[in-house]
Amino acid sequence: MPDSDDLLVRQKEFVDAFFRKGAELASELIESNEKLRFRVVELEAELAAARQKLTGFGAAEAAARRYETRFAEIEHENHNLASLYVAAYQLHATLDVSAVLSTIVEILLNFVGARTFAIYVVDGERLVPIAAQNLAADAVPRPALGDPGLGQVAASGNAQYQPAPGVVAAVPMRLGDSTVGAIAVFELLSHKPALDEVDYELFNLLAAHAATALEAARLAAVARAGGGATNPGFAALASLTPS
Amino acid sequence: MPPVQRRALIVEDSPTMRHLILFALRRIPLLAVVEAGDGLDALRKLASPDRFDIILTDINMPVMDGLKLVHRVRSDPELGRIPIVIITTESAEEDRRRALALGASAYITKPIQAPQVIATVKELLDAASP
Repeated sequence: MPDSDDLLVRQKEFVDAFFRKGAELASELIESNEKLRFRVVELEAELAAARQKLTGFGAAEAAARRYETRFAEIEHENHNLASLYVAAYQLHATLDVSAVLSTIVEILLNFVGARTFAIYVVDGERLVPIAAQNLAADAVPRPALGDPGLGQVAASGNAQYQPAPGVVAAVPMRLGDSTVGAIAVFELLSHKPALDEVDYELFNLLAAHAATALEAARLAAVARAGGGATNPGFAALASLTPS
Repeated sequence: MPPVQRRALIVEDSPTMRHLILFALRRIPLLAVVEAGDGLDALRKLASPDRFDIILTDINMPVMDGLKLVHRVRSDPELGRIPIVIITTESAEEDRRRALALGASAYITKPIQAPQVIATVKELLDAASP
């Protein structure tokens, strides 16, 4: 049986070992804590860098979206300008009255998206239809100059939009200061809800160029006829009946 | 791989519309464009040794309309796989269904928007590329 001194020695050894182990453990914990703290600092720095990159990506993404929108706007504008150029080019590409008239019809139908419309020339105090689309000849309105809507437009020389019930647009065809005809759009294609920005430009173009093109074609017809007929150009116009 | 020149055929009786579509297609690099005034004229041009990669056609045309053209192209073993885009004022669902049932690849209503035409043509050309 161990004596009390031996027990005391063993107890002291145990306590010493216990505290040594405790100190070692505490030291390990402190060291690992330090390492963790360092890692946290590293991670915080990485997180900040990642956040910065994300901000950069976000800014780049926003810039890309802005460029995309701008590109679409420019493409749209480009298309509008092309429509105006092609319309003007085609109006003046011929000196044949019926070909000019066909071009006006095509511009209204395919560029503006008009479904029902009529084209008129001024004859004295009246507007005489020379072409119509999706309208029977007897259904084409024949207003006098000054009548509300189209008649007023022809008298004033100023285009009007929705000037009267059932009229989407009434546009004069002007030659210098005088109005030689008019265009009336009564209905748009079913899938075209309203006139677009470019349509107003197309109407402006028609107002300025259609009459010139028609007059040039009329004069060419007169010249071709050698002046034998009193006015063969107008005869060519008058011979066009609403279709 | 070197860039490949491709060919498009516009079939449209209206010179004004042809001109506008041509303007739009010019924005696609390496795309040569040939024009035809109606379906029959188109078939003559399609019979030439130079192959076409895409056809854009109107429906309402004299001599031979666009739907007959689609039918003829789809029935031809040599031409049958060419993508066909219908460009028309006809917007009724029935017209669209009929054209697609005959084998049209896409359907665009007038008035056209050039970006839409360009996107459609590019997409079909890319899909048909080997």
